[in-house]
Amino acid sequence: MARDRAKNAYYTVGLPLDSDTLHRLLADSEETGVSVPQLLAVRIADWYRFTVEMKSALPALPGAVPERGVPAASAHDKSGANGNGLQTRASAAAQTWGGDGE
Amino acid sequence: MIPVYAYGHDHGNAETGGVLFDQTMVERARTLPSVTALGSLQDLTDVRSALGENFSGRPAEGLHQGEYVLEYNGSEWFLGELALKQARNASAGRDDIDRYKSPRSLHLLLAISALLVPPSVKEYLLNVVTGLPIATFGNPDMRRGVRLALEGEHHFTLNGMQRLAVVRVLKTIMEGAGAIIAHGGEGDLIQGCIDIGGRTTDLFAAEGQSPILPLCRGKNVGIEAAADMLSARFQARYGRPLKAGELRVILRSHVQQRPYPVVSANGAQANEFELRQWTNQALSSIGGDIASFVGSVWNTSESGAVGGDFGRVLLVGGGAYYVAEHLRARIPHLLIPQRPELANAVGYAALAHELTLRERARASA
Repeated sequence: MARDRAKNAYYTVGLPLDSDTLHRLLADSEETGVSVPQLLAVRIADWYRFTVEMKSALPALPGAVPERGVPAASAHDKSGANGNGLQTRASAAAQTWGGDGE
Repeated sequence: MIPVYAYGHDHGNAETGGVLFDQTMVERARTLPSVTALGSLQDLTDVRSALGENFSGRPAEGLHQGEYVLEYNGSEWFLGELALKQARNASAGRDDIDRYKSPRSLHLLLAISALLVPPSVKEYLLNVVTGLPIATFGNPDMRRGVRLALEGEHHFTLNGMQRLAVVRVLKTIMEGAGAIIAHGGEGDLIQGCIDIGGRTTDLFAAEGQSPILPLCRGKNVGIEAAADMLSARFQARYGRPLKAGELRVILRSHVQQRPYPVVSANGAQANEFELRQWTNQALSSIGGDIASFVGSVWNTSESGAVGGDFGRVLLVGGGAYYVAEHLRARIPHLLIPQRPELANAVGYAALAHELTLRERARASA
């Protein structure tokens, strides 16, 4: 099939001959009946779709705390899903753990 | 009268977190790698002056953004990334249980607090709550040692700016308990916290805020085990281990889904595809180990449901970014807060704030 460079981007990819990834790709191609070049495009699209779903399920990424910290307008969960909020839990913790060091 | 702040100090193997609350509970937070090394600001800026701009007489101006030099007790310390990059003998005290009562812990507390306190405030008092791993919390000598290491009037300089921090340790609690304060449920809910750090994983379970001791356990496995595996494979292929700084960037790039850094060995560039594969395999292996550990401690049914009778299960610590998917497979109701690496420190700071209020109430009664 002729390449349509007006529509598609084409790349040359090198995979180590003894790599697990190449073996799995070849097995995948045999199992699905899809050619390796087509399968590469499909699996890459799958991967990006999956990581977008994972990103929305994960918290903010590491290293995201800026130079001067993160000033918050209010304490955690004052009126959020946790109900009573940070101060109430801290008060309960003070009852449990006590103060005055030891 | 100097300003008083509530401060949560979480000194981990890999990262140290600090959270500061002022009197209105406005929060500032920050982490630094738990690495320090003896260094010389003057020597560093002399070298940089030779390469370009002249910093003579103003050595602190030779520091780049994110670089920190602490002068304390007659010595100068490179901290965090600067120690990793510019010092040969950088150390984090990994695997040293005494690190919680070490000068390094104090150095990082002083530096982080100085970054969080407004620059106009030169002298301040910190009321601190901090944590110990579950395995060592029961040792009163360790708790006493933490207090002795951190408390006192500390004159220091950070990046050329002189400060005085008066530190009081109000309380030392179990790691994981901080996260339950910060992000736990209300009332007497049975809840748990999985705290994954660089070298350790701690499980903390509580009814409300009260620990359920048989379900509180620690294990010496953390994300740095995955880093060690990755480095070993790299060394087997390329003849040298990965440096601490390289490992840090590779793992961050992996979890942030960014291209890996260029890593060279013996004049050749390492294959990124292979590195990515090895990283995946290492994190998968460690994630599986941790999931098994959690399952062995919190199994509540023959079906293998983990934490099934817990109303809430939190995943916190810097390791949360790397192994969340492995744990979700066993604990579908897992909750990961924003900034899991700061979860304990937030709870510590909130407890410090509460204990400070109670002190004031007693004093004025």
